[in-house]
Amino acid sequence: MPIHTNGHTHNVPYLHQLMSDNPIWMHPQTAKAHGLKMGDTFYVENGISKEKATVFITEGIRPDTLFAYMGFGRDAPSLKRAHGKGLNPSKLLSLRSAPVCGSMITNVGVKITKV
Amino acid sequence: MSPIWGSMAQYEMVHWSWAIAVYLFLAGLSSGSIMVALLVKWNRHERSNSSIWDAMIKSGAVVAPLSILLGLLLLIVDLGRPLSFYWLLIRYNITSVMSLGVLFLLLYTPIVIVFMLLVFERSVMKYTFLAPLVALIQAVKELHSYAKIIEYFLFVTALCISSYTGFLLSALYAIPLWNSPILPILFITSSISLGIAVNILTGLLFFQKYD
Amino acid sequence: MGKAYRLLYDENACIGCQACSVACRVEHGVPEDFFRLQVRMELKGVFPRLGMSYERMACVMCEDAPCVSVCPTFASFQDKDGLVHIDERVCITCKYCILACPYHARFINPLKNVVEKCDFCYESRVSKALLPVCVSICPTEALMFGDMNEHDSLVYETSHKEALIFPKAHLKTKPKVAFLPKRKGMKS
Repeated sequence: MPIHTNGHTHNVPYLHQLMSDNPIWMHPQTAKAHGLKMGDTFYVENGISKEKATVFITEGIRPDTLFAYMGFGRDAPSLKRAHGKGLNPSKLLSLRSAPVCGSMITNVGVKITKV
Repeated sequence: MSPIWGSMAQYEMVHWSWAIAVYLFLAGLSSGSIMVALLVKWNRHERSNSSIWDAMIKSGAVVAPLSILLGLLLLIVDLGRPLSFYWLLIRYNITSVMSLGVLFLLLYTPIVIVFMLLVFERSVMKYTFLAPLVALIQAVKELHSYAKIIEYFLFVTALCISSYTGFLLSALYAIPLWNSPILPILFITSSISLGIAVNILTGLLFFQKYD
Repeated sequence: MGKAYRLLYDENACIGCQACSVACRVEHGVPEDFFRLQVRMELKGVFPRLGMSYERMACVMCEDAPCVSVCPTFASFQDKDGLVHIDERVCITCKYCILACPYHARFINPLKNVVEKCDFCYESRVSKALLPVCVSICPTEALMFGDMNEHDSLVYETSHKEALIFPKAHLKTKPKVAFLPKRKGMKS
């Protein structure tokens, strides 16, 4: 359910009150396989980066997939409401673009490690 | 599906805090104490100063007004807008147990204070700084022939005070634990048993004169 | 003849976007992190057979309102059309009404220090024959508002076409808000 638009609206008060954090959606089977419970902190890691994230266990995602809203994990301290909240999934994405159309990657494989 | 409807903190807030719980205790204590004191006075009071019965009456006469005044103070202070509490005294909603409780308290509190003054009449005469109260006592003694009726009235209002808190909670049918007809009976019983215990305890500690 | 307002919430059309919640906040200056209106969602089932259920959480304007009968100063009162209002002047914030409301619709406004709840946008809109803000802003037209005494109104026609569920009807509060329950994609 989209509350925020891309990465623009995360500091807007009315919207920040509705969604201020982006815990990663994980299927119960995946969570159990990695020994994670609701709200646990864990590492998502791939060749590009290793980030810390919180888990949100839900049936609404495939067992082999994770989901995170974009636009969180902001670095700018002047974004007083959004600063530092959540995970920045962009840090796990490659900067390579496709040769013809120029589109960039939005899905990557990650490894889950418990903290 | 992450919760996107916002904070649910307002739904989990505790609206009636410890102050209300303590007030319910004090209201029960005050009414139970005075009811027990009155029952002792009607049935067991001999004119000697050293019996436990006399001590129970005296402790009832002190505990009841002090605890109800403390309870009322707690109630007013716990309000979100304490300075608006006078609206409670102006407007009465018969369907609201809280409004009825205010009415009972308005009747009960002055009479129980006067009862305390009459029981401790000799002490009031003795201490000169309590001189203004002597006039009040003399005025009340004019009503000497009505004494029994006023005592019965005091007993009835005390019974109302001890039960109204039970009705206050049982009127909230949205809260399953409180929504029970047995609650007023529970409150009356515990206030009487508390009254007996406190009267005996304070009587033994403060008012018992050893021969 | 007085008005018999009714608000219909169509669970089939609701997408849980919270536009109504934000519009209500803007219209009434609701303090931060407090809500007059929330739309809650619940994900049911096991992957891949999933379904969502939606619920509107706000005041339902009961005919036999418990908040009105327990208020000691008549700060919570009903007008001639049956809408429950709050008189801020005489509210002492004893919080009896908040505990009495079975729908958990009331809360204390920390800035004004009085009790607040959804009021069907009465003063700003309904009294001027406009629709409440949540009804007018809903992008999927999941909310309908009107007078049941007018037989050509949308709420009257819909109430007679569809099956309605009144929230917590077993408590006999006779709410003015009714839900059109989820039909799981079937035609009405």
